[in-house]
Amino acid sequence: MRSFQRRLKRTRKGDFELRLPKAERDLLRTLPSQLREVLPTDDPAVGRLFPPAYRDDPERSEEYRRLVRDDLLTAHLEALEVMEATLDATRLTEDQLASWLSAVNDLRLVLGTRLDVTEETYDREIAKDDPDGTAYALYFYLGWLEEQVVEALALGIDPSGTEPESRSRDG
Amino acid sequence: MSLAKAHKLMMDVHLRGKAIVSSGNREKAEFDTFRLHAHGLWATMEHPS
Repeated sequence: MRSFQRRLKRTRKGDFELRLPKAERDLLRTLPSQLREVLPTDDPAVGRLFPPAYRDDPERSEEYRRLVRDDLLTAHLEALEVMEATLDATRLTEDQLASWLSAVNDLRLVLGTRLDVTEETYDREIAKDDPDGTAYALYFYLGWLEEQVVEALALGIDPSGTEPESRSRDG
Repeated sequence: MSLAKAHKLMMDVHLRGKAIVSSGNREKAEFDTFRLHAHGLWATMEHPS
């Protein structure tokens, strides 16, 4: 069925064909600006993107939060910008696709937090007249798209790969 | 990290709710945590007391 065709294909050159139908591009186009608007606020759903860093230590968590909050915000915003700038692209570099992964995941997480998605959400039928029906459909679509991004990126991993000697900030 | 190791860590998170993906001194732990947070992953640090 055409509607379930793969949206991403890794090319021999190591970049990616982005095969998104126009309807999906138009849908995705409406999202980054909405997240960008709430990201710097203390909207509870956005809290999911700025989790506490220490499980049992509020003081260190607060210290860490003060230290990285701006950089973390910038990282989330940059991913959204890359996605927005390449929404009509038919080819993406690996770096661009990694930004798509972050942005799609951020959108999915914030939407999922708003909808209070739990494991059970996946098991129950969404009623046809559910007022959140469209939002649930979008949530599941984002998850489906994200899975394809992960699978496309994972194809580039050497299956027997070893730990890299040095870590790079964008690695 | 090998694909098999990555898969195992993913399954640990899925089935047990968490996995240890990095350990080291505070500076390294906070750097790694930042990178995970930047990707929307829920990472927390614990220190032995």
